[in-house]
Amino acid sequence: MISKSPFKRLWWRLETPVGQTLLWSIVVFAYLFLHAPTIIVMGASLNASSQYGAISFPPTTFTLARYWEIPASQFHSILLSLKLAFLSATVGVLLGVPAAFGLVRSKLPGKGLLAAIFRAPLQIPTVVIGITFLQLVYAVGDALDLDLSGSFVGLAVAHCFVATPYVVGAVTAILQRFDGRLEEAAASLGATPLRTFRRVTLPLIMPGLYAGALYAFMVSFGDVPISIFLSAPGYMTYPVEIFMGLEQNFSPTILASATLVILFCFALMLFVQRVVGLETLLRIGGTGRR
Amino acid sequence: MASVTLRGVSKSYGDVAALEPLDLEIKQGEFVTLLGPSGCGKTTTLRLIAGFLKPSQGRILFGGDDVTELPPHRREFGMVFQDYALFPHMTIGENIAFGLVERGRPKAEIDARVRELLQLIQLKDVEKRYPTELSGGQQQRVAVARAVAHSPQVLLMDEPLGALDLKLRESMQYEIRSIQQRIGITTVYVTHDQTEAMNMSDRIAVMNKGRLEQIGSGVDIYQRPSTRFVADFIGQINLVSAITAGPGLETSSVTIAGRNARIAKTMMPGLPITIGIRPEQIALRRADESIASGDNALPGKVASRQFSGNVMKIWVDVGLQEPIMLDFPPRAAPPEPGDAVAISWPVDGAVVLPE
Ligand SMILES: Nc1ncnc2c1ncn2[C@@H]1O[C@H](COP(=O)(O)OP(=O)(O)O)[C@@H](O)[C@H]1O
Ligand SMILES: [Mg+2]
Repeated sequence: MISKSPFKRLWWRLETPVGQTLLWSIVVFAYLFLHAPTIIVMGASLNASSQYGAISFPPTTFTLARYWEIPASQFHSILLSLKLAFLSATVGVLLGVPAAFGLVRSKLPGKGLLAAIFRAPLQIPTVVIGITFLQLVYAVGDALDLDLSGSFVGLAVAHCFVATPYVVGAVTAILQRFDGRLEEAAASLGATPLRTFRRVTLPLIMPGLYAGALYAFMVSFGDVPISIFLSAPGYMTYPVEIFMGLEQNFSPTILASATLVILFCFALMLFVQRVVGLETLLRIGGTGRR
Repeated sequence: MASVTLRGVSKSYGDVAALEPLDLEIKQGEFVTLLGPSGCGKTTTLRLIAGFLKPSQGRILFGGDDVTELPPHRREFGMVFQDYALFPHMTIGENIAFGLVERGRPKAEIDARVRELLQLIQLKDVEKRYPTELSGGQQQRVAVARAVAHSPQVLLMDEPLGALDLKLRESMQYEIRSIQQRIGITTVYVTHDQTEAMNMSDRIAVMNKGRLEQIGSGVDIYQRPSTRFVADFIGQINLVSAITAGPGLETSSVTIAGRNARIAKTMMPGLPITIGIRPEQIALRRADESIASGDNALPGKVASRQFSGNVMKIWVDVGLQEPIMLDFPPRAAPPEPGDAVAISWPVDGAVVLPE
């Protein structure tokens, strides 16, 4: 008697009004739990009465004043972080895509070892990477007789280093599942290897490429442990700036600028989803035949 | 359209010979099937013709042109893959148009050709849909349309119906064959299904362990198999050991299970041979009934029987290692196991195979 099993009985109950209410409360609670930090930050940024050193939520009196008070230094650091993130995503794609092709398609004997080396940045604690790059910056700086600490180059190299493996990983995953006969089909229809890449391979690995680039962007944009070693006073990434700000004195303008960043990231996600199209992702992943 | 010629083409992977030197000529407009068990080198042969593999030795010609050194995209052919390999990110229309776009044809011509082909495969309304929105049989037809859209010289198909169920497979066999005949394209088809090969082909090339065993029409390879493997692989057959006894004018006498019989071939006496007799060539009588004069006959006992719809299969023990299997027409009353019977077959109803 299948209908008597506890599992079935549970489902049956979930279909009743009480069950439905319960189910929806759980769903709403889960979403609230996930998004609470975002909601609180955004809400608190509108609060007129908040004093230095405290977050108050829900806001009691509304104002946009905090947004006008955001100091220029925060805008500078946001701009620096954005530059680094875009650079990491771009370099990640330029280095990561060929690397993924090599790892999946080539017949090199030491492929497993190479793959491990490419993954290494994900396995080393980021603090260690930060210290390592600080040492590197000093060493190179000494050798070239330049002061590279707190320079864009130092930050950029370190960010690209941690971000690229995400592109390698995402593109490798999609290439391993790639049906090689699609490329043969293109060749049989007269497409040169280059045309086959442009018309068949590239569009089909695009979802992996976008996913990898997005990861690379986010990892770079959110990084504190590495950037904190390579930043200098007056030249900080946004997360480092917030971190420092919280250590010294908490300014509610941070809530305002964080809200702007959240909105920007949200828009970026929407844009990427629009461009890549969730539909494309599903169609390529889906094997269902009707 | 053009013929396809293989001259001493072979392929080895390291020390393993996947294909031994093969000579094969597929005439213009002909439908030739490569048939054989899994691993016999069918796919290897097809991929050599396509250019996805380089032969270890030998030359490949399309028409009169040597294409051995040409990469696939410069050979003029179309290919249908087992699970279709349609481009999932393109609509059906874009899939079919692919080869024409690569050849830089004008848009108007491409559109007209795509519509013509959708008509040909009887799928007019799917142009804007994506491959995953089609059934297996529909995808298969699109794959055929895509492969012939650019009017290639040669069409290659590797087990294109392998993923379909039996009913659909039969109707697709007919459809592919009729499309092939309408456009008259030279076709090399790969399957391990002998019925499929028989249904579709002008000629069948039977392969085994990287070697071509026999090539001929379906009737040829069924009625006149030239090797033991072909006789056994195509349809059902009783393989019987015999010793030649003495040559006649157009026949020889042989000894089977201690009794005399005749074969339709002149042979030296004292040779061990194998005789192949198809089940439908064998007649069954009760031991006391007389047989047609001139036919070979062996007495025996019914060992077992099995009803399989259109015929009753009966196994008769005639004193050989294996019982002889024959097809008994269902309209007559079948004998019971243990009954004393005699089997008989016409002299020209058996084939002589090299040992
Ligand atoms: N890439 C390869 N490396 C080594 N051996 C292979 C390779 N491809 C095929 N073979 C071998 O070649 C033989 C013929 O294979 P194939 O042409 O695929 O057979 P079929 O299509 O008739 O089933 C098989 O024994 C197979 O194991
Ligand atoms: Mg095969």
